[in-house]
Amino acid sequence: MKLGMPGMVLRSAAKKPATRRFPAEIRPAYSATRGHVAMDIAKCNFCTLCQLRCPTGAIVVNKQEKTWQIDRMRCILCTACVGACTRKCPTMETSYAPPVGERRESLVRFTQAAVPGTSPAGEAGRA
Amino acid sequence: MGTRTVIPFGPQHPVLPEPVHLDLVMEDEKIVEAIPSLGYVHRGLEKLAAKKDFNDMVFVSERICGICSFIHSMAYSTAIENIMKVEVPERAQYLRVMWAEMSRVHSHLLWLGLAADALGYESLFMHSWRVREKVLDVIEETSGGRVIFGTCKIGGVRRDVDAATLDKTLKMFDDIEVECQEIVHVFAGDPSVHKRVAGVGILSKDDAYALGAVGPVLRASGVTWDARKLGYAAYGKLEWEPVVETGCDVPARVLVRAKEIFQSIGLIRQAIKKMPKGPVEVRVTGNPNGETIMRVEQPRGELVYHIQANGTKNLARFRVRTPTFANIPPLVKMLPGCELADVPIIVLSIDPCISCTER
Repeated sequence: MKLGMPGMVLRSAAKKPATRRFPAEIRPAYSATRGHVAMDIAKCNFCTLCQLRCPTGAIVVNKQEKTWQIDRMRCILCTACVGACTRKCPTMETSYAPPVGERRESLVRFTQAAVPGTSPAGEAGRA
Repeated sequence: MGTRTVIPFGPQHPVLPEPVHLDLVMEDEKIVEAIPSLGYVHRGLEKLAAKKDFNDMVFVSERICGICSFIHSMAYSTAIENIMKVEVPERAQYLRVMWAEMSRVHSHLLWLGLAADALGYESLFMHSWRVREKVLDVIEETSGGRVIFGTCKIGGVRRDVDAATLDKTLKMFDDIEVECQEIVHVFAGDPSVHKRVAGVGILSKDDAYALGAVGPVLRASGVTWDARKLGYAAYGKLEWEPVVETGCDVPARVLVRAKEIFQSIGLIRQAIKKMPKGPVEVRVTGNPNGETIMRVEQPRGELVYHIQANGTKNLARFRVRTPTFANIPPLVKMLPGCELADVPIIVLSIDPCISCTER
């Protein structure tokens, strides 16, 4: 249908807006969407493979302290860590990480409980 | 001869999303000479190649440009694959074509919107970007990112797309094509657009060829040349012809880009229909050793990658010649003789991407 601009304008006037009323109306994420890297710390054996593969150096693994830390501001969501892990600990979630007010708030540290399995989700906290 | 005045244009200007500076030497309202200066957003990405692992450089090369990101990573990966003599699986080749053409559709819609904005046609700008949003949704659904695809890697692509998503992509592009037809109809037929740009920014065929214009600027001056005809990725196996216009002015460039949207949608359809089943990546081991030049067609024109590798994990030399850089001499040729009021649309008609140019 080629009515030119008047046609487009008339149709737009009759239709509801092309934009969504965010945050009242949220588009569901696609299954492929790269939102943020989540970590299942209970399964981790601190092999540091993810740290080695990370192109931006966003991941810091500490074997002694049993911590796994990610800098969300450095992370470029390339899924290199997800592909590298043999135990499938880091996973790509479809939701975006919450915004941060300060640079240091983007550091998220996961600590493994002393006996693996007692705290399956691990403890996530701002570093 | 009247008094000559120099008017600075840019680096901050409402029509320019990125900083480029032009010193316009004026005689009354006419431009006599235009002197460009660049270098406001240099990021040193070529030097970074000497520090980064060559596998990680795919991510850096993808970030050279925010619009044709996938084509940069594809050019880089293909160049390294050529040095290492890696045979990329066929499905990955077709997926690369599909994503490259998606980024072309969204880039051209973005440009059409910007052009409409530069003409003062605000509603047309909004409609162009409304349709572009749908293309971005398809890109997100297939690759996971909206602008940075992050799917290309040396040896293939990082993720496969299942049949259901490919079917949905085809349907989405049917809708997008109908909406693009309406928008292009306004660009091609609207008298106010026509009166504003007809005969503006003339670049003759000989000048375009001699000054090394690339992409839609070259094709709008009547030269049949499209780097995709070199047949990289799966382009050699698809049926298509370069879009050529002979108007040599701004509306011709608008038309070339508008027609390329439909050509790209056609190529996406062909790529999806001809896509064979199979693996999408091969394992690449070792380091590259050798030198290569890779030429690919970006939405803005021909992109050249020169890579020198010395057998270590870092590249010895990484050089990128982006299409905007090649299109600046033709731009400087187009401007003399024009009115000052026409400068924004003429500068925009080469689709300047300055961050690309300065890397």
